[in-house]
Amino acid sequence: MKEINFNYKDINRDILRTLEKPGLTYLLLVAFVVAGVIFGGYCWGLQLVKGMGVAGLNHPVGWGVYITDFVFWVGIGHAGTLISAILFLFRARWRNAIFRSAEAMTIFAVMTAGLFPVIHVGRAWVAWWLIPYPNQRELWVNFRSPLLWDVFAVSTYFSVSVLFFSLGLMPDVALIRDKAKGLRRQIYRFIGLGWSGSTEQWRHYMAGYGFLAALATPLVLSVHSVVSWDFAVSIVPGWHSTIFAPYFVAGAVFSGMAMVVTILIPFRKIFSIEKYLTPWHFDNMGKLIVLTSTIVSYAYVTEYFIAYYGDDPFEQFIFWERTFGHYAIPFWLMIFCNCIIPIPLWFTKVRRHLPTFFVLSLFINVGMWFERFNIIVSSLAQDYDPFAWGWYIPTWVEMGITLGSFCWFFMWFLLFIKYFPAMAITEMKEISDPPMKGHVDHQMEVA
Amino acid sequence: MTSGMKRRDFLTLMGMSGAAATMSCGDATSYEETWKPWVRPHDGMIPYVPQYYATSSREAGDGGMWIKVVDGRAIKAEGNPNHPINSGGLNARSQSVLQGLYGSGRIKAPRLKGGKEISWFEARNLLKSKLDAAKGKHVHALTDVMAGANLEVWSSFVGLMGEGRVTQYQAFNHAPLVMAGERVFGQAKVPMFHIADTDLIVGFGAQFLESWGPVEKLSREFGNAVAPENGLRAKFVQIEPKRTGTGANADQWLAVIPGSETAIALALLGEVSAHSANLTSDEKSLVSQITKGWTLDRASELSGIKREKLQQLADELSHAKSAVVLPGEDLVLGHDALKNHVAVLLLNKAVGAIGPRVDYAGGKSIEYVPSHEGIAKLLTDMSARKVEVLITKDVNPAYSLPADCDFPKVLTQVGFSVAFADTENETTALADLVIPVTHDLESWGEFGGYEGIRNLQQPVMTTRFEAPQAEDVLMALCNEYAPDTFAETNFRDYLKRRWLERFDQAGVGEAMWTECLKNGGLFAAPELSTDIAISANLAADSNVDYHPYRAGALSLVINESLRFGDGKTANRGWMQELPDAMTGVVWGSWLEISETTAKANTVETGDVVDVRAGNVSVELPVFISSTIRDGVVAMATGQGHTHYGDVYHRGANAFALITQDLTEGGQFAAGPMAVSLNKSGKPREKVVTTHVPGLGDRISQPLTGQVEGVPISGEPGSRDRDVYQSMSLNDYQHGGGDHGHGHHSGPSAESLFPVHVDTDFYPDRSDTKVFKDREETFYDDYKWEMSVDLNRCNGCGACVTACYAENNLPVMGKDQVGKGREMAWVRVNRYVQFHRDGDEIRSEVAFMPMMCQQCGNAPCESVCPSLATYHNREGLNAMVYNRCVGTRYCANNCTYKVRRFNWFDPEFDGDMNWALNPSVSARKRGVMEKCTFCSHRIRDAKDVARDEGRKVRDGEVKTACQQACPANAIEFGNAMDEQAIVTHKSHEAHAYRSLDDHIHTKPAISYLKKITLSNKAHS
Repeated sequence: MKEINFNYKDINRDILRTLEKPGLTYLLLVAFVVAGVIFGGYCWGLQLVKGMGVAGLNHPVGWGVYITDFVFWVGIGHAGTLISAILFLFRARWRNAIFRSAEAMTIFAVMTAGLFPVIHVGRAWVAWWLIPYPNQRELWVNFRSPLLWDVFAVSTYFSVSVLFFSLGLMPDVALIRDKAKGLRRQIYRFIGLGWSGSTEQWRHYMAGYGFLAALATPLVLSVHSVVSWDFAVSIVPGWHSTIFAPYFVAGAVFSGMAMVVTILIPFRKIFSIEKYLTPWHFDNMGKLIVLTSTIVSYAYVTEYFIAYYGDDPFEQFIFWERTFGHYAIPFWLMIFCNCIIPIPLWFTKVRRHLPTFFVLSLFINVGMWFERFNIIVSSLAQDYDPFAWGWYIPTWVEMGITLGSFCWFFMWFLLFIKYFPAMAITEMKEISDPPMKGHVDHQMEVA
Repeated sequence: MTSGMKRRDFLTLMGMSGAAATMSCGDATSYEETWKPWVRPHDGMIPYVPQYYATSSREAGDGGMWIKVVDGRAIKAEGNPNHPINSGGLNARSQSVLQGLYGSGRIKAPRLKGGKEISWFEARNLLKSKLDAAKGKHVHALTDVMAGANLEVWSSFVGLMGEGRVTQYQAFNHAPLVMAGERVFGQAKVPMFHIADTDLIVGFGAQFLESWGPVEKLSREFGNAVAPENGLRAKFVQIEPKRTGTGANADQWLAVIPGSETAIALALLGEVSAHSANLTSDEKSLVSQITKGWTLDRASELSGIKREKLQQLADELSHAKSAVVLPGEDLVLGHDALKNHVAVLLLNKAVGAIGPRVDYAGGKSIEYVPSHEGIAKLLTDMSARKVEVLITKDVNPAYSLPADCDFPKVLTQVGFSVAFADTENETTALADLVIPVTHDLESWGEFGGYEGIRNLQQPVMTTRFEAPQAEDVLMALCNEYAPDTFAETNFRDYLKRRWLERFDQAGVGEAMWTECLKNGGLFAAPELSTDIAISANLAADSNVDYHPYRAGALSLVINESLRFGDGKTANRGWMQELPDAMTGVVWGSWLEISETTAKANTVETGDVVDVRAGNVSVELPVFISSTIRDGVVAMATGQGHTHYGDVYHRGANAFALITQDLTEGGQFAAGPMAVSLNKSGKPREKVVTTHVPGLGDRISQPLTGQVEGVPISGEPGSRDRDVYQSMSLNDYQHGGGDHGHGHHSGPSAESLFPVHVDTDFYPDRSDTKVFKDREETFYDDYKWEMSVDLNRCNGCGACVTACYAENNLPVMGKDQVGKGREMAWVRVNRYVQFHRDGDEIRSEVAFMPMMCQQCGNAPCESVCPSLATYHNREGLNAMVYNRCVGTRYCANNCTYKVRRFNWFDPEFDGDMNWALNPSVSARKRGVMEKCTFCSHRIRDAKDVARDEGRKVRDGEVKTACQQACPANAIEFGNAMDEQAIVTHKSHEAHAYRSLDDHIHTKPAISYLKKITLSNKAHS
């Protein structure tokens, strides 16, 4: 089967069609997610007014669903840049169809993740104290704290992703601009930064794009490493582990790819762009998922081995309790979703059978959420002093905010696909047959 | 003021001249009597500088308190350092007097039955008219135990009114012990026990570290006895069916079948007296008659304890150089109380304890120990409609009398009942007229008790509400009915005159009065206590027909609660939120039951059961514990109120199960009782609301991650967690321990942190130069450290309550504590290890106060993104509340889990916000907080030292927990001072720093390992 089977001349039409006046389904979807965002906002408002006590957090479990959500969303934010930057550098052609939406997803995921540190602090109204800047209060921040590293890691990642994203968007925006009228045209003109598609501009563009891709690549690895250090740098048994950085990065790519799959499968169906997003793409993403799932599973095993081999009674205890104790359900859910569920993806047939893949990707999303929950909560619940142990159960407020965060994410994504081409028109053209020419057999760059 | 009439006018109307109503002397009542902001301070007062008033209250038992007053408001109760009982310590219940003063239950205005508030004028007229009508007939008074001038006023009033009596009533009293003293030695007294210099303490259940007797003194002395000195320590054996907080400290717990305590006492007496050198041959023959038939075999059979163990105990008693035997709890013994106490006194006589350790010269005489016979007689009179007017004060018979007395019904037979009360309770709810009177901290008075201890009570601040002192009202009434009954027009003057008349032998007058006010009373050493011969009147045949209680399938024992006593303090958040020492239960009652018995009755922790004894029953949830004998269930007193405000209506009232039969000892019969359990079908209740899963629902499981039967703590490096450590006396005597380096060599990097100095990732701060080319090191003048002696700590929780009071900690309530959100900065960790030996439970209980360790290498500091917590140059892990953003990362990373987060804005019951300590910043929601070794007290001491141009001296700074600790378990000081006590303690062979060997946090608190008697002693 041919992997690239669309015509150059159809691309503009097919892709720009996604920007046309929305139908009822779309509007209902938007209404639903906006309602979810409002509900989440209400929950947060309640927490701001009453105090953190409306969440289920306690002594000793000071972090729960909020930090789980934070790590989850940062993780989701990994696939986009990985696809757009790293795969760009590797010249993986299958990336061209999916990188735009994956990259948008990245930005929205990081926007969602960025809410959670603010939501989870006791005094959100002074959260800006974590930003170091000279001030008359002569206060400074603690550069030894991993939370501060987070501030830099996430904000850097976000800024570079946004730059990279808007740069890649420029030629396509210019295309819309040319077809738009009135105010829309003015707005797109502004975003398009005067793109005219001249050879000179293309030359600079390609250089800049490559440069930013190179800049973004280490960030993909660094941001989740830094997030993992929130845990690894502490001395909580079950957190304090040198394996965390690679383990978290792999986990982030794993969950990010799963989220891309989760979003794109319905997306291609709804907008009838099956022609452009083919099982070939999902096959490739499936391979990445299989790879990262294996890494993650390996990390789980390694953690247990180190707990055994390290002979630290506290660590051994926590790993025992994680498996068989009070929080065994999240643990086994995690093992099931992250290690067992991806096994069928070793088979090409499964990877190319999109309904199956879609269901599997949902499980992986759930599993990765529980992985973070499991790490965070079970370790805190039973650390050094047995007398100070305690259980944590999330409240409706926390779950409401979590729901709100999903709605927030999808709200941005839904708006995005109506205002920007969710597939890079210019890059799709790059890999399609040149116009006015006969068919050129592209190498299938599946590897 | 809304009502037209004020307290003063009320008194005036009662017949006093208005001019004399203004009290004038250098005491607290001379302030303005309306609350208003301090625009101009009174003479001699410096705003924000605390003043201390020595006083006492009913909560303090026989002890004395210092009330800290800042700007005219009482903010903290502390133990009177000059008091022979307190010596500075103060138990948790006494500390809660502040919440009694500021609580929401205080009565604000006079009112009629049903709640209709009336003016003072109407109240006066009503009272007067009822008294006029009853004059010459039966006007009775029912009060708490009273002494001296207070009693004189009440007696004068009641005497003047007619044929009534003043009946003193205490739910808990030592009447049987007094009676036993009378029988055995002809001494109608409660003896003072001295247990400091003993080598063997045998208890038959007395909760002397919680609520029995002068607990501060006994705790202190117990600490001295069991803390190893010169390689020796006392052994403590407790004989009780349910292991109480006191019994938890026992080296050996004999879990007897309830009701067999007396049989054991008699059997031991028989064994010990046979070879005793302390008895004359006449006495020996008398004792042998008394113990006739009560052999160890019989005691073993009755008690379920192996004979060898009893034999061993008898041998130990015989061979001990300075043994002392403490009696059982009357509540647990019931009808046997008197017999038990007689046997115990004889046992003390046989081991030579009478005199040096059982001190009758310093005892409490019978007049301060009202038995229940008085109130039983009053109830009879009331039922017979022989009481026209009943005046109650400071008693709550409607709550604490046995249910079958049916006090509410009996009260309806009274013509008119008046309650003089400061706080709402079940009795005020029934009274026809309630007249608010001053709280103990707003009143004058005196308390008697142990010989040589006369407590003086003085107001520490102006009254919170418009209310007169009860005695003032009575005096006014007396003077109205019979002018010149009292020369004085107020009670203060009368008290002063009477006090001087009785005690001012030297004729010093005013100066003596001032001195007594300053000291909180008059404390004189009693006569030297000597041995007393056994009274010839002691009946030899008293035990011939004695048949101990025969336990059926299930027996209930009732224990007096450390926190609530007779229930008076149940309306106080501090007490409700102080976890029960043995179970961790807060804000409720529970029925303690062993696992086997629970299985037999098919109940589980949290099941609400109906406990039925005879025809009365109470409903409460079950709690499965490993510190109770099979076939026994236990509950504590003090809960189950109905008129304390909804939030304080928790649990079940144990008094409902007691019967109105009077025992031989003159008490309403409690004692072990046969009960049956029935599941009530109500939804399972969350019993353990402290967030202690390991100890809560699973108390019976080993907590330390070990298998059953292994001691709680082992040597460092083993599979143990080592939070808590102990060592055997044998090891201790042979210089064991791993911190024995460099005794008393003065602190240096090496001695402070001996193990890790070379391998430290972070350089040791004690040698770090803070400025280049300067001599200053990180710690210069001070490095504050604490030492906690796990031998002395008995788990009473006084430190916890003291910390609440000192540091403005909010009370969170049942729901929040249930979620693990209590705000206590210091908690008492409890570890229970138990195993079964046949059908016998053996358990080890360990208590460990846990507060911020002020780590030298603190995990919390490095992770705070906003630098809200940091290590200061005095070794404190400082916390800047205002800088805290609330990430809670510090709490997560805290190894000891001692950081507390403000989940909500704090709320204070009643006017408790008036008692906030101005030296400690208030925290709002979203902020992390924790112990900082009372840094404000350090600041105060440093200010004083700076003014005097010197350094802070050792002992000058006392933390609140240290100050309150009755057992002197906590020492605090400067580790840079090699002479400091804390430096010496931290270099003891048995000192250790919790978890330091595992994670190297370099805590500033050194614990002294519990020295356990060798395993041999246990088997």
